[in-house]
Amino acid sequence: MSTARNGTHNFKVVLLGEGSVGKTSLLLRYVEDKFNERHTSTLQATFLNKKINLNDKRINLAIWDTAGQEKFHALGPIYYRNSNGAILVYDITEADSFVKVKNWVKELRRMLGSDIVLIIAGNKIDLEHEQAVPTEEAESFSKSVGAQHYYTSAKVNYGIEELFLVLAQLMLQKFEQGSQTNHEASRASQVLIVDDDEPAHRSCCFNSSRM
Amino acid sequence: MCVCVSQGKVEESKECPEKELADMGALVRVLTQWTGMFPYDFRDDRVMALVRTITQRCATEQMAGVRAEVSRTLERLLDRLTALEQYEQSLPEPAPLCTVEQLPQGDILTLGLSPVELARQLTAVELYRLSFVGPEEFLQAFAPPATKTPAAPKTTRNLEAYADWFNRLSYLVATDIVKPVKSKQRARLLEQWVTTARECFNLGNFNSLMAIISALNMAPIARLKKTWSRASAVCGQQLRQLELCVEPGGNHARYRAALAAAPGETAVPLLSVTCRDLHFAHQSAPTRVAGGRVNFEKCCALARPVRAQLAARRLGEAHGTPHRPAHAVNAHVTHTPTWRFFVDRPALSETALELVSFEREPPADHLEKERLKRLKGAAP
Repeated sequence: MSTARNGTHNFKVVLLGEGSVGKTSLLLRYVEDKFNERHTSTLQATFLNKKINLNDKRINLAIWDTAGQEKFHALGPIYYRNSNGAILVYDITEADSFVKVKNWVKELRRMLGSDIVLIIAGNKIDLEHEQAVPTEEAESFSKSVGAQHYYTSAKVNYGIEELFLVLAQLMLQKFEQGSQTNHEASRASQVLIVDDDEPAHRSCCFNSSRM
Repeated sequence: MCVCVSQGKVEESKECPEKELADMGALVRVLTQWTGMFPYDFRDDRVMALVRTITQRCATEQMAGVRAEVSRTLERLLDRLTALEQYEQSLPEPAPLCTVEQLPQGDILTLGLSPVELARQLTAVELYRLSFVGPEEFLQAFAPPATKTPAAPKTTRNLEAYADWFNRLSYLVATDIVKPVKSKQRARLLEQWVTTARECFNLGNFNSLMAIISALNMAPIARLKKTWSRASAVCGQQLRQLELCVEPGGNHARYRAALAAAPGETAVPLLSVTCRDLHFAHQSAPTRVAGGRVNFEKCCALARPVRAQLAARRLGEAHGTPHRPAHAVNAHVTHTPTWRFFVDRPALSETALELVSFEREPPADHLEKERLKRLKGAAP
């Protein structure tokens, strides 16, 4: 969860999406500015960390990549618990991968309500000519669930920096709102994922996440 | 391999008998190695046809010296393939159920096993299932050849089946807990599963441990406040401690340390972490380096997690009689009550789990009420 020790905000972000939509490439591009220029490094870190400065605030993003573990549906709650933000990645050339994103959104909203900031990323926009998920559909869905929608390309490094910046901003906002209205309410309940009453009233965008 | 075998065939009858016998001896040794390491290659009729050619040639008088070894090799191969077929018959899972009434009677407690015994049997189930996973299956799944030419058709899905088992165990645990109408019984089941999870940890069976932890974290289980409050206080504490051990921070540092310290005979690595390691090993290095040469460093990086995951399998082999494969050592598991319980029993579907959970303990806040309304609207 987010804390503000030493004036640094720590946010946990989870990357979700079907296999081979480019989650790892996206993350590597952001954290190390690498794509496919593969080198044997110690990038095995489960959490990749990125420090940024925003409005004079120091933010540490711990980004949890679920790549390689897509088959283990039952692990879902373990991946995303205590996350402040989620990036739901689909491949714009694969309609099925967008369906998977919709399912993740439903599950996240159900489990974490409006506590979590959602960003939907249409990756591989460099393959625009093969686009299989219409922009209108992606955007109207994102809007209906209170998520932001961005197009990205890990290959040509497009839209990624911006996506993470917006995510960080939204998480910071949420945190600042939250610390005003909600003292430590969710801290003791991490195991039970108890739905405390407060979060529901904080946002209205959640209402439209129809199942 | 094919090249080597067909060369052997070409050279036939041109050589003197001694040379021919020595060549055949070498060929049989290769065959023994190959069938031992990758028996599933021999599900392919084309490969099996080559084996038949070899055995036929060994039938002649001057090949008497290698005949015994060839028949031993063949016997072992057929054993492995038969065992695989039998195992595959046990794989189809009962379809998830939509209502709790359709569930068979009884729960994990009716098996009458102590958590220690249950954990031991679960570990045997894990090792048995793992024993069927071929090392090549990991590469087929996580480091497929980059070429566009269609790969040889896959003849096995033991890795997928083993991953399915993880999910299945999780859903069965969740189903088991929400099933009883009385909260006291549900609380007893919670205790049984948490204690079993702890025993799995003691055995180093991280795969079952993680599946149970996942089940207890599923919304329909996690929200049962009354049930949790009726379970012993230690139960919640124990669970939190166990969760800490498999907490993914620092690239699963705690888990890796715990696995290294686990008893070798019963340790079962977390399949999900192995898959993750393979994904990264594949993503982080090119398969070919400059000049089109094979990147052997990457091959080693890919082999490492596979070897670690299958170490349990090798141990099974080491403990059995020589050449007695792990599946045979662990086959007794299919006669245990735990095996029957987890093979036959249907689990509830995700929606059904939620609905039953709300039946057991009504929605506690307006979020949950909303959720229930939607669930009922969606139900047929």
